[in-house]
Amino acid sequence: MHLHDDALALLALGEEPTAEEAGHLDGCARCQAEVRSYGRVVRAGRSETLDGSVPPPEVWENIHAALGLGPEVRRDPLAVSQPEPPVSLDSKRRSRAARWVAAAAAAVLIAGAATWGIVRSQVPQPEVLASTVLEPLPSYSDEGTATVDQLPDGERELLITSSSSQAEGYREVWLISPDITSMVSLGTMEGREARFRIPAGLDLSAYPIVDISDEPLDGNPAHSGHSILRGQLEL
Amino acid sequence: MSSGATEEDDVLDGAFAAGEETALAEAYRRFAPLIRTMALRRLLDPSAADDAVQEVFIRAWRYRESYSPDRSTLAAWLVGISRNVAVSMTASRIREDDVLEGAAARDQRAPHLVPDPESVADKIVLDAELTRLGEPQHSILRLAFHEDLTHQQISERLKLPLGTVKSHIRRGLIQLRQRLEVSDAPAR
Repeated sequence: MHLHDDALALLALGEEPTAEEAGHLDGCARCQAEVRSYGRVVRAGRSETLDGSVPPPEVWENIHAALGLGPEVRRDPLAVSQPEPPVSLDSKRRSRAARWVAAAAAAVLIAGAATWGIVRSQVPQPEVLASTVLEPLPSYSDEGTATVDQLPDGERELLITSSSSQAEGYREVWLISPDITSMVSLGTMEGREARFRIPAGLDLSAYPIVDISDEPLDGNPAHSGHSILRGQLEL
Repeated sequence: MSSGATEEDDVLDGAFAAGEETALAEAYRRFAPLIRTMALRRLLDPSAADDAVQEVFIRAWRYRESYSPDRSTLAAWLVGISRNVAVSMTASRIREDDVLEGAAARDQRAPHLVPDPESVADKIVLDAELTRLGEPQHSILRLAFHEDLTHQQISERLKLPLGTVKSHIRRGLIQLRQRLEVSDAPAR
């Protein structure tokens, strides 16, 4: 008897398995494979929305010329979409912003983008400071993500997800310097999702690498050298 | 909740297929920055990435008759073209020193730390597909992905039965998984 398809999907999203589910999953390659098969979707879904990088105006000029497009689309589309600065309390500026919104709404296509923006901004979310995909090191097949959130109280929290919780010993989460010479332990990780408060004075740009290690139960507090997942925060 | 966004995305995809130049301009506004990021991670050279963006949109417009909004989102189709453009550019540039040096530098930084261009591609495709999921599936998956809510929390937030949330999560993930796999198929 295998796990229910609904349960497998929830496990892929990093939800905690029940004791019964965990017991079955540990010994069942088929269910493990099914959970893993969602890895790509979950990773893409959870990864931070990309800002992209704006091509210089010549790129559109060249496209425009090569395709012989009409004069109404001559302007670089990426140059047009500079909205007014965010609404301030100054009423004059607010009315200008409102006019801009109205003008945007008139253009059907831009209205789509605006609706999308409004829908997204209605949901209160902690501010995401950085995020990365955690990639398995050789001989591991786990997948994971790391996200640094700025909480309303000003503290920073690191959210780690991982597609499994298996380890020879136990899992420990580290922040590591780019040259891998110094590191900070944030604590042990049980299950497939964990949150850690980042010490207030810690400069994340000096420790941008997020690492999950497999630590033997040997009483040695240093990194075992056996990393399971790793990724670098883009700060 | 987001059905408006879905419809507008469909409007863009349809207008592009119908050959409206304003739709090409809108597609460029929306997707050129992401495609440039993807190309940059693959080609490791800003001017090559700009060339790639240019080539992608020129090809996309010239071959727009082979694009069908019923089969895929415009985002997924552009990503497919971007892949092919980047592959052919990498092949033709492989002897150029700057690419080799760039690749060598990347290898030394440990390749598993560099975000894969494919993960950028997947993100573009998935975001577009997400807006095409019907409700309440779209809202459910958005809360699961973007807010990391458990199915219990989603059930409370949206006032839907637990079983309904669970089965929508499964069906949504299966559909998105399949759309990502389809996006791997070679485009023009």
